[in-house]
Amino acid sequence: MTSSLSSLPLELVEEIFVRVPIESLVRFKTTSKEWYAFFSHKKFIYKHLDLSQERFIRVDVGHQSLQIFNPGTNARLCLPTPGELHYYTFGKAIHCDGLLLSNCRIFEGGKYRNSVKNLAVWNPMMSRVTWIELSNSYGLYDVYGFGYDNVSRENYKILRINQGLLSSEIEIYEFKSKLWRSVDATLECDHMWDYVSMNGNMYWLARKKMVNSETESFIQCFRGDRLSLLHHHHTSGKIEVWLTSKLADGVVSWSKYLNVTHDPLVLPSTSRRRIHPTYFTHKTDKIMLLCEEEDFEEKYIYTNVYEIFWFRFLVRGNSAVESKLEQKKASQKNDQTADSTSIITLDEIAFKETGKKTERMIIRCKICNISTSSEDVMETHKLGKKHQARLKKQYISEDNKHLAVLEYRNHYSPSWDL
Amino acid sequence: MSKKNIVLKSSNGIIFEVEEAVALQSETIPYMIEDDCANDTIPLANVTGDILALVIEYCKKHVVVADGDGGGSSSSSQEDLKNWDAQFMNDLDQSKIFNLLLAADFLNIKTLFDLTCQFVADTMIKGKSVEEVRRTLNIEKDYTSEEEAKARQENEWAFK
Repeated sequence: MTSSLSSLPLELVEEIFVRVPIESLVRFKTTSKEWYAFFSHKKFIYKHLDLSQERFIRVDVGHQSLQIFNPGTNARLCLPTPGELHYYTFGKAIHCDGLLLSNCRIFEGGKYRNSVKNLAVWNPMMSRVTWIELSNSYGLYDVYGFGYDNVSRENYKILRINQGLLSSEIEIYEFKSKLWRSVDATLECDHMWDYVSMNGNMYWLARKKMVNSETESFIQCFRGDRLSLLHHHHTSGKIEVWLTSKLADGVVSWSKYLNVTHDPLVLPSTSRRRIHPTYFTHKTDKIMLLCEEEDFEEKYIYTNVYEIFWFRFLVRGNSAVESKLEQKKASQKNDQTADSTSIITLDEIAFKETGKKTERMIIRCKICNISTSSEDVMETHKLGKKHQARLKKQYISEDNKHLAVLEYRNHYSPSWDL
Repeated sequence: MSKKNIVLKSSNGIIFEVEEAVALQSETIPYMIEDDCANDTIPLANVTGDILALVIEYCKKHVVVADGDGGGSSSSSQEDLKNWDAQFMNDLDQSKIFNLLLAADFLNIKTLFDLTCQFVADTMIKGKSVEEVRRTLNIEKDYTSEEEAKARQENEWAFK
């Protein structure tokens, strides 16, 4: 009989440690050199990364700190940004394997100043920064990509696209060779804005022609093998989420995943400015949506995280398998009973756009831990005193009453590579 | 069709008769059935009776739920199952947990293996200090005090 952890085989000890959250692992690196080496094996790092839950990260340049929020557990971490990045300002970073690629600039006297060092790959958890030597032909408006190929995951690559008026120039930098090389390729699109790096590949949202749009769109990964798009209509507040088929299947098609007709983001205040929302799909298939608002009068930033998910139930024969939540909404039960005799899989329900309401969207306010399937109820809730009071407490940078210079927020899987 | 039963025998000779669906949550048992004779008792030389009883309790609970909604899961049954799992693990002492982990590994029951590993990670490792982890794993400190202080300084936030 085994009665202590140390008598377990090493493979099992590893299985336990890959399930320990990064914040604890960082602490344990001082246990011993041997154990540090054990944790630092690429095999261990990637396994840990694959099991780790996605979170949100906010980089607060003004306070030289970053916050990592896990909406699954509500755990919040606050740590300093690496010293080397202080005094730089950076736009949205690209996330790959727990590392961030940031285009850093110095902001001085009201304008951006170019500096020799400005392309950084950094690990927020480990406070480590690697500066990438710039390409000889780099330009101020270059578009970057960050990923790896399936030959070697650790040989990270950076893609640089310079979109000129007449032609585009594309280069790739490899971590192993530390060199930029030019790639013979042409781009038929223009106006690239949101992007995501998934399984080493870069995906951009782009338009062939710039059009005035009432909708802003964001791209993300879904379950690690598909892409999702979130469309947000400015005036109506309508949100739509679309999914691709599995990318590995070759032919990629889009289908609608969910529709939110009520805007859970709009708060009734004119003195506030909304900052672009960011989102990711949790392993439970819930969409975690982070939105922030700046309150100019009170100089606060409010951070709200919403969980949006379908309330689904499976249908077998003529009786629905009901859950607790369903029973609360007994009055609406009638139109939810489907007459199908087969078992409908979750995906089918989600994609089916039939007249029958076999699916039901639940909006949850994470601040107050309240769920509702009614948009009106959530609307009323958000105007309520309790919610408003809690909202104030939700203010993240508690240290001083300063409008934080917030530069970056994204989904993020902590790793301790590099 | 009548339900087929499988007979399992623990290392200390205790016999358990379970429904096939319960036993087949283990990916190891099907190979043993093929190798041996299906009608015979399957001897599990690495698992003692008390641990096998726990494994069967877990598998029984999980087979019922999987059967109830056709392999998928509605949100309530998933929640109930999660609570049951938490309670199941909480009731065990350390020695039982480690042996359950070994059994789940040997019998290749993925969900039970994940559950026990995660439980150990959360309850015995996650919140512990460096010294406590060294003690738990019999690790000898090979850092000098200066080296340790330096490593600590690099990620000061993690020690708060």
